[in-house]
Amino acid sequence: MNRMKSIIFVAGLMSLVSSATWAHDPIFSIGPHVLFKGGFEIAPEVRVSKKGDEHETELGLEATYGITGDWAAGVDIPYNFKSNDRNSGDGFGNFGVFTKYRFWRHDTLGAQETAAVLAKVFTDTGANRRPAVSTGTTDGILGLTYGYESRKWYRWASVRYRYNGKNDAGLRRGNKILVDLVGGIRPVPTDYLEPDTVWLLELNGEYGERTESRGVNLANTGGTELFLSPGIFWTKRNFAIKAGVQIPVYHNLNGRQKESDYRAKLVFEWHL
Amino acid sequence: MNKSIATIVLVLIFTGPAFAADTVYHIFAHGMACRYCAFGVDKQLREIEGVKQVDIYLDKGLINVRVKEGTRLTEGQIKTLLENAGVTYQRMEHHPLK
Repeated sequence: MNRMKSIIFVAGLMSLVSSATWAHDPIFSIGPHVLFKGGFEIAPEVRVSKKGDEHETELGLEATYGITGDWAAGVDIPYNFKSNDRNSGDGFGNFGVFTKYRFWRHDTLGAQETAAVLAKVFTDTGANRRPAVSTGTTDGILGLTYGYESRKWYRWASVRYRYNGKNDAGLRRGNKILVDLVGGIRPVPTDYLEPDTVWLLELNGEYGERTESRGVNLANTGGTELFLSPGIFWTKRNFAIKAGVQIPVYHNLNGRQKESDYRAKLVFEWHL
Repeated sequence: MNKSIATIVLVLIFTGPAFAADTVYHIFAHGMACRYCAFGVDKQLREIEGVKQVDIYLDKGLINVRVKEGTRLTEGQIKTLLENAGVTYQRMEHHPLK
Protein backbone atom coordinates (compact mmCIF):
# COMPACT_ATOMS: atom_id res chain seq x y z
CA MET A 1 0.00 0.00 0.00
CA ASN A 2 2.87 2.40 0.85
CA ARG A 3 4.52 1.62 -2.50
CA MET A 4 1.23 2.26 -4.25
CA LYS A 5 0.91 5.63 -2.52
CA SER A 6 4.49 6.43 -3.48
CA ILE A 7 3.82 5.65 -7.11
CA ILE A 8 0.67 7.76 -7.08
CA PHE A 9 2.60 10.65 -5.50
CA VAL A 10 5.34 10.36 -8.11
CA ALA A 11 2.61 10.44 -10.72
CA GLY A 12 1.46 13.76 -9.30
CA LEU A 13 4.94 15.15 -9.61
CA MET A 14 5.25 13.77 -13.12
CA SER A 15 2.31 16.00 -14.07
CA LEU A 16 4.47 18.89 -12.97
CA VAL A 17 7.55 17.70 -14.79
CA SER A 18 5.70 16.71 -17.92
CA SER A 19 6.08 20.21 -19.29
CA ALA A 20 9.35 20.56 -21.13
CA THR A 21 10.43 24.10 -20.28
CA TRP A 22 11.09 25.96 -23.53
CA ALA A 23 12.40 29.40 -24.19
CA HIS A 24 9.79 32.03 -23.42
CA ASP A 25 7.09 29.56 -22.50
CA PRO A 26 5.24 29.20 -19.18
CA ILE A 27 6.98 27.57 -16.28
CA PHE A 28 4.42 24.92 -15.29
CA SER A 29 2.50 24.53 -18.52
CA ILE A 30 3.45 24.28 -22.18
CA GLY A 31 3.79 26.96 -24.82
CA PRO A 32 4.30 26.99 -28.58
CA HIS A 33 7.93 28.13 -28.72
CA VAL A 34 10.38 25.93 -30.60
CA LEU A 35 14.06 26.50 -31.44
CA PHE A 36 15.81 28.02 -34.44
CA LYS A 37 17.01 25.46 -36.97
CA GLY A 38 20.24 23.83 -35.83
CA GLY A 39 19.97 25.34 -32.36
CA PHE A 40 20.54 23.56 -29.07
CA GLU A 41 18.86 24.27 -25.77
CA ILE A 42 20.33 22.96 -22.51
CA ALA A 43 18.20 23.40 -19.40
CA PRO A 44 19.10 22.03 -15.98
CA GLU A 45 16.28 22.46 -13.47
CA VAL A 46 15.19 21.82 -9.91
CA ARG A 47 11.61 20.93 -8.98
CA VAL A 48 10.34 20.56 -5.41
CA SER A 49 6.94 19.56 -4.12
CA LYS A 50 5.25 18.87 -0.82
CA LYS A 51 2.10 16.90 -0.15
CA GLY A 52 1.36 16.23 3.50
CA ASP A 53 4.39 14.40 4.89
CA GLU A 54 5.76 13.58 1.44
CA HIS A 55 8.54 15.70 0.01
CA GLU A 56 10.11 15.35 -3.37
CA THR A 57 13.01 17.12 -5.01
CA GLU A 58 13.79 16.39 -8.60
CA LEU A 59 16.82 17.45 -10.58
CA GLY A 60 16.21 17.42 -14.30
CA LEU A 61 18.25 17.99 -17.41
CA GLU A 62 16.53 18.79 -20.68
CA ALA A 63 18.31 18.94 -24.00
CA THR A 64 16.51 20.09 -27.14
CA TYR A 65 17.50 20.40 -30.80
CA GLY A 66 15.91 22.58 -33.49
CA ILE A 67 15.23 20.29 -36.44
CA THR A 68 13.65 23.10 -38.48
CA GLY A 69 12.47 26.59 -37.60
CA ASP A 70 9.09 25.05 -36.63
CA TRP A 71 10.02 21.62 -35.24
CA ALA A 72 12.14 20.62 -32.28
CA ALA A 73 12.80 17.44 -30.31
CA GLY A 74 14.62 16.55 -27.12
CA VAL A 75 15.18 14.39 -24.07
CA ASP A 76 14.44 14.85 -20.39
CA ILE A 77 16.56 13.08 -17.74
CA PRO A 78 15.23 13.34 -14.15
CA TYR A 79 16.87 12.34 -10.87
CA ASN A 80 14.56 12.20 -7.84
CA PHE A 81 15.06 12.55 -4.10
CA LYS A 82 12.02 11.38 -2.18
CA SER A 83 11.22 11.30 1.53
CA ASN A 84 8.28 10.80 3.86
CA ASP A 85 7.83 10.13 7.59
CA ARG A 86 9.09 6.56 7.26
CA ASN A 87 11.95 6.53 4.78
CA SER A 88 13.81 8.32 2.01
CA GLY A 89 15.56 7.40 -1.22
CA ASP A 90 16.83 8.66 -4.54
CA GLY A 91 17.39 7.48 -8.09
CA PHE A 92 16.78 8.16 -11.76
CA GLY A 93 13.19 8.78 -12.73
CA ASN A 94 11.60 7.84 -16.05
CA PHE A 95 13.52 9.25 -19.01
CA GLY A 96 11.39 11.32 -21.36
CA VAL A 97 11.57 11.86 -25.11
CA PHE A 98 9.54 14.72 -26.61
CA THR A 99 8.86 16.63 -29.76
CA LYS A 100 7.00 19.83 -30.60
CA TYR A 101 5.75 21.07 -33.95
CA ARG A 102 4.61 24.65 -34.52
CA PHE A 103 1.95 24.43 -37.18
CA TRP A 104 0.73 28.06 -37.24
CA ARG A 105 2.43 31.40 -36.86
CA HIS A 106 1.30 34.99 -37.37
CA ASP A 107 4.03 37.63 -37.08
CA THR A 108 3.61 41.37 -36.76
CA LEU A 109 6.01 44.14 -35.76
CA GLY A 110 7.40 43.16 -32.36
CA ALA A 111 4.83 40.41 -31.81
CA GLN A 112 4.23 36.77 -32.61
CA GLU A 113 1.14 34.58 -32.29
CA THR A 114 1.63 30.84 -32.65
CA ALA A 115 0.14 27.39 -32.06
CA ALA A 116 1.89 24.04 -31.66
CA VAL A 117 1.32 20.38 -30.84
CA LEU A 118 3.49 18.44 -28.46
CA ALA A 119 4.04 14.74 -27.80
CA LYS A 120 6.09 13.17 -25.02
CA VAL A 121 6.80 9.60 -23.97
CA PHE A 122 8.06 8.68 -20.50
CA THR A 123 10.00 5.45 -20.79
CA ASP A 124 10.03 2.75 -18.12
CA THR A 125 13.69 3.32 -17.34
CA GLY A 126 13.57 4.69 -13.81
CA ALA A 127 15.22 3.18 -10.78
CA ASN A 128 13.27 0.73 -8.63
CA ARG A 129 13.48 2.15 -5.11
CA ARG A 130 11.48 2.51 -1.93
CA PRO A 131 10.00 5.09 -1.65
CA ALA A 132 9.32 5.00 -5.40
CA VAL A 133 11.27 7.53 -7.48
CA SER A 134 9.78 6.36 -10.76
CA THR A 135 6.43 4.95 -11.88
CA GLY A 136 7.53 1.62 -13.40
CA THR A 137 5.40 2.36 -16.46
CA THR A 138 5.58 3.81 -19.94
CA ASP A 139 3.33 6.87 -20.23
CA GLY A 140 2.51 9.41 -22.91
CA ILE A 141 1.38 13.00 -23.21
CA LEU A 142 -0.28 14.83 -26.09
CA GLY A 143 -0.62 18.60 -25.92
CA LEU A 144 -2.03 21.53 -27.88
CA THR A 145 -0.89 25.05 -27.10
CA TYR A 146 -1.44 28.63 -28.24
CA GLY A 147 0.70 31.65 -27.39
CA TYR A 148 0.89 35.40 -28.02
CA GLU A 149 4.12 37.21 -27.32
CA SER A 150 4.76 40.91 -27.79
CA ARG A 151 7.14 43.55 -26.52
CA LYS A 152 4.88 44.11 -23.49
CA TRP A 153 2.14 41.45 -23.13
CA TYR A 154 2.09 37.67 -23.12
CA ARG A 155 -0.73 35.15 -23.08
CA TRP A 156 -0.91 31.38 -23.43
CA ALA A 157 -3.54 28.65 -23.33
CA SER A 158 -2.88 24.93 -23.42
CA VAL A 159 -4.45 21.54 -22.90
CA ARG A 160 -2.64 18.25 -22.30
CA TYR A 161 -3.82 14.67 -22.04
CA ARG A 162 -1.67 12.21 -20.18
CA TYR A 163 -2.11 8.48 -20.71
CA ASN A 164 -0.60 6.34 -17.95
CA GLY A 165 0.51 2.76 -18.53
CA LYS A 166 0.20 -0.25 -16.22
CA ASN A 167 3.09 -1.44 -14.09
CA ASP A 168 4.17 -5.04 -13.41
CA ALA A 169 1.93 -5.24 -10.35
CA GLY A 170 -1.16 -4.42 -12.42
CA LEU A 171 -1.43 -0.86 -11.09
CA ARG A 172 -2.48 1.82 -13.59
CA ARG A 173 -2.62 5.42 -12.46
CA GLY A 174 -5.60 7.39 -13.70
CA ASN A 175 -5.16 9.34 -16.92
CA LYS A 176 -5.00 13.10 -16.54
CA ILE A 177 -6.23 16.20 -18.32
CA LEU A 178 -4.33 19.42 -17.68
CA VAL A 179 -5.65 22.81 -18.75
CA ASP A 180 -3.68 26.02 -18.37
CA LEU A 181 -4.20 29.75 -18.85
CA VAL A 182 -1.30 32.17 -18.49
CA GLY A 183 -0.78 35.91 -18.65
CA GLY A 184 2.49 37.79 -18.60
CA ILE A 185 3.87 41.30 -18.75
CA ARG A 186 7.24 42.84 -19.57
CA PRO A 187 7.00 46.05 -17.52
CA VAL A 188 10.07 47.66 -19.10
CA PRO A 189 10.78 46.76 -22.74
CA THR A 190 14.53 46.47 -23.18
CA ASP A 191 16.58 45.94 -26.29
CA TYR A 192 18.37 42.87 -27.55
CA LEU A 193 21.59 42.92 -25.53
CA GLU A 194 20.03 44.28 -22.33
CA PRO A 195 18.76 42.07 -19.47
CA ASP A 196 15.03 41.50 -19.65
CA THR A 197 12.38 40.60 -17.06
CA VAL A 198 8.91 39.17 -17.66
CA TRP A 199 6.40 38.43 -14.89
CA LEU A 200 3.89 35.60 -15.31
CA LEU A 201 0.74 34.37 -13.60
CA GLU A 202 -0.52 30.88 -14.46
CA LEU A 203 -3.79 29.15 -13.66
CA ASN A 204 -3.11 25.41 -13.83
CA GLY A 205 -5.95 22.90 -13.65
CA GLU A 206 -5.48 19.13 -13.28
CA TYR A 207 -8.19 16.49 -13.48
CA GLY A 208 -7.16 12.90 -12.80
CA GLU A 209 -9.18 9.72 -13.26
CA ARG A 210 -9.10 7.10 -10.54
CA THR A 211 -6.17 4.71 -10.32
CA GLU A 212 -6.89 1.08 -11.19
CA SER A 213 -5.41 -1.93 -9.49
CA ARG A 214 -5.96 -5.16 -11.43
CA GLY A 215 -9.05 -3.63 -13.04
CA VAL A 216 -10.58 -2.27 -9.82
CA ASN A 217 -10.86 1.51 -9.31
CA LEU A 218 -9.24 2.69 -6.09
CA ALA A 219 -11.50 4.98 -4.05
CA ASN A 220 -8.92 7.37 -2.64
CA THR A 221 -7.43 8.41 -5.97
CA GLY A 222 -8.13 10.92 -8.72
CA GLY A 223 -9.90 14.25 -8.58
CA THR A 224 -9.30 17.87 -9.42
CA GLU A 225 -6.78 20.45 -8.28
CA LEU A 226 -6.35 24.06 -9.33
CA PHE A 227 -3.18 26.08 -8.83
CA LEU A 228 -2.35 29.76 -9.06
CA SER A 229 1.28 30.08 -10.08
CA PRO A 230 3.28 33.31 -10.13
CA GLY A 231 6.59 33.18 -11.96
CA ILE A 232 9.40 35.17 -13.52
CA PHE A 233 11.68 35.00 -16.56
CA TRP A 234 14.99 36.82 -16.51
CA THR A 235 16.79 36.72 -19.85
CA LYS A 236 20.03 38.07 -21.28
CA ARG A 237 20.58 37.36 -24.95
CA ASN A 238 20.78 33.54 -25.05
CA PHE A 239 20.57 32.74 -21.32
CA ALA A 240 17.49 32.65 -19.12
CA ILE A 241 16.56 31.96 -15.53
CA LYS A 242 12.97 30.96 -14.87
CA ALA A 243 11.33 30.41 -11.51
CA GLY A 244 7.83 29.90 -10.22
CA VAL A 245 5.70 28.42 -7.47
CA GLN A 246 2.35 26.61 -7.74
CA ILE A 247 -0.03 27.49 -4.92
CA PRO A 248 -3.12 25.24 -4.65
CA VAL A 249 -6.35 27.28 -4.61
CA TYR A 250 -8.94 24.53 -5.08
CA HIS A 251 -9.10 20.80 -4.31
CA ASN A 252 -11.81 18.29 -5.10
CA LEU A 253 -10.03 15.00 -4.57
CA ASN A 254 -11.81 11.66 -4.33
CA GLY A 255 -12.01 9.97 -0.94
CA ARG A 256 -9.24 10.64 1.56
CA GLN A 257 -6.08 11.98 -0.05
CA LYS A 258 -3.30 14.35 0.83
CA GLU A 259 -3.72 17.67 -0.89
CA SER A 260 -0.80 19.41 -2.58
CA ASP A 261 0.86 22.00 -0.35
CA TYR A 262 2.99 23.62 -2.99
CA ARG A 263 5.24 22.94 -5.96
CA ALA A 264 8.16 25.05 -7.16
CA LYS A 265 10.52 25.09 -10.11
CA LEU A 266 13.81 26.80 -10.98
CA VAL A 267 15.31 26.51 -14.48
CA PHE A 268 18.56 27.70 -16.05
CA GLU A 269 18.44 27.71 -19.82
CA TRP A 270 21.00 28.28 -22.56
CA HIS A 271 20.45 28.55 -26.28
CA LEU A 272 23.54 27.61 -28.30
CA MET B 1 57.74 59.37 -66.72
CA ASN B 2 59.04 58.25 -63.35
CA LYS B 3 57.28 61.19 -61.69
CA SER B 4 54.00 60.26 -63.42
CA ILE B 5 54.25 56.65 -62.25
CA ALA B 6 55.09 57.76 -58.71
CA THR B 7 52.11 60.14 -58.71
CA ILE B 8 49.74 57.42 -59.89
CA VAL B 9 51.06 55.01 -57.24
CA LEU B 10 50.64 57.59 -54.48
CA VAL B 11 47.09 58.39 -55.59
CA LEU B 12 46.19 54.70 -55.57
CA ILE B 13 47.70 54.18 -52.12
CA PHE B 14 45.78 57.05 -50.51
CA THR B 15 42.47 56.54 -52.33
CA GLY B 16 42.51 52.74 -52.27
CA PRO B 17 40.69 52.46 -48.88
CA ALA B 18 37.82 54.58 -50.24
CA PHE B 19 37.06 51.86 -52.78
CA ALA B 20 37.38 48.99 -50.18
CA ALA B 21 34.13 49.88 -48.38
CA ASP B 22 32.06 47.71 -46.05
CA THR B 23 28.34 47.47 -46.77
CA VAL B 24 25.51 47.75 -44.28
CA TYR B 25 22.29 45.81 -44.83
CA HIS B 26 19.10 46.96 -43.09
CA ILE B 27 16.80 43.96 -42.74
CA PHE B 28 13.22 44.36 -41.51
CA ALA B 29 11.45 41.41 -39.88
CA HIS B 30 8.22 40.72 -38.05
CA GLY B 31 7.88 38.36 -35.09
CA MET B 32 10.95 39.39 -33.08
CA ALA B 33 9.19 39.86 -29.75
CA CYS B 34 12.02 38.72 -27.50
CA ARG B 35 15.74 38.24 -27.38
CA TYR B 36 15.36 34.46 -27.71
CA CYS B 37 13.62 35.02 -31.04
CA ALA B 38 16.41 37.39 -32.05
CA PHE B 39 19.28 35.16 -30.92
CA GLY B 40 18.57 32.62 -33.65
CA VAL B 41 18.73 35.41 -36.23
CA ASP B 42 21.90 36.84 -34.68
CA LYS B 43 23.71 33.50 -34.55
CA GLN B 44 22.87 32.45 -38.10
CA LEU B 45 23.90 35.82 -39.54
CA ARG B 46 27.25 35.72 -37.74
CA GLU B 47 27.93 32.32 -39.28
CA ILE B 48 27.93 33.86 -42.78
CA GLU B 49 31.43 34.42 -44.14
CA GLY B 50 32.18 38.15 -44.33
CA VAL B 51 29.68 39.33 -41.69
CA LYS B 52 31.48 41.69 -39.31
CA GLN B 53 28.73 43.02 -37.07
CA VAL B 54 25.07 42.37 -36.28
CA ASP B 55 22.88 44.83 -34.36
CA ILE B 56 19.25 44.06 -33.54
CA TYR B 57 16.53 46.55 -32.58
CA LEU B 58 13.48 44.66 -31.31
CA ASP B 59 11.05 47.60 -31.15
CA LYS B 60 11.74 48.49 -34.79
CA GLY B 61 11.97 44.92 -36.08
CA LEU B 62 15.32 45.94 -37.57
CA ILE B 63 18.53 43.99 -38.04
CA ASN B 64 21.61 45.93 -39.19
CA VAL B 65 24.31 43.73 -40.68
CA ARG B 66 27.74 45.08 -41.59
CA VAL B 67 29.66 42.97 -44.09
CA LYS B 68 33.15 43.31 -45.45
CA GLU B 69 33.87 44.31 -48.99
CA GLY B 70 32.95 41.64 -51.49
CA THR B 71 30.33 40.02 -49.29
CA ARG B 72 26.81 40.06 -50.66
CA LEU B 73 23.59 39.03 -48.90
CA THR B 74 20.72 38.06 -51.18
CA GLU B 75 17.02 38.41 -50.47
CA GLY B 76 16.46 34.67 -50.86
CA GLN B 77 19.26 33.87 -48.44
CA ILE B 78 17.91 36.26 -45.80
CA LYS B 79 14.32 35.06 -46.22
CA THR B 80 15.41 31.47 -45.59
CA LEU B 81 17.61 32.46 -42.67
CA LEU B 82 14.79 34.36 -40.97
CA GLU B 83 12.33 31.52 -41.59
CA ASN B 84 14.79 29.09 -40.00
CA ALA B 85 14.96 31.42 -37.01
CA GLY B 86 11.18 31.50 -36.70
CA VAL B 87 10.46 35.09 -37.79
CA THR B 88 9.12 36.65 -41.01
CA TYR B 89 11.10 38.64 -43.59
CA GLN B 90 9.60 41.97 -44.66
CA ARG B 91 12.19 43.80 -46.77
CA MET B 92 15.84 44.81 -46.91
CA GLU B 93 18.02 47.60 -48.23
CA HIS B 94 21.73 48.16 -48.29
CA HIS B 95 24.33 50.83 -48.85
CA PRO B 96 28.11 51.04 -48.77
CA LEU B 97 29.73 52.59 -45.73
CA LYS B 98 31.92 55.54 -46.52
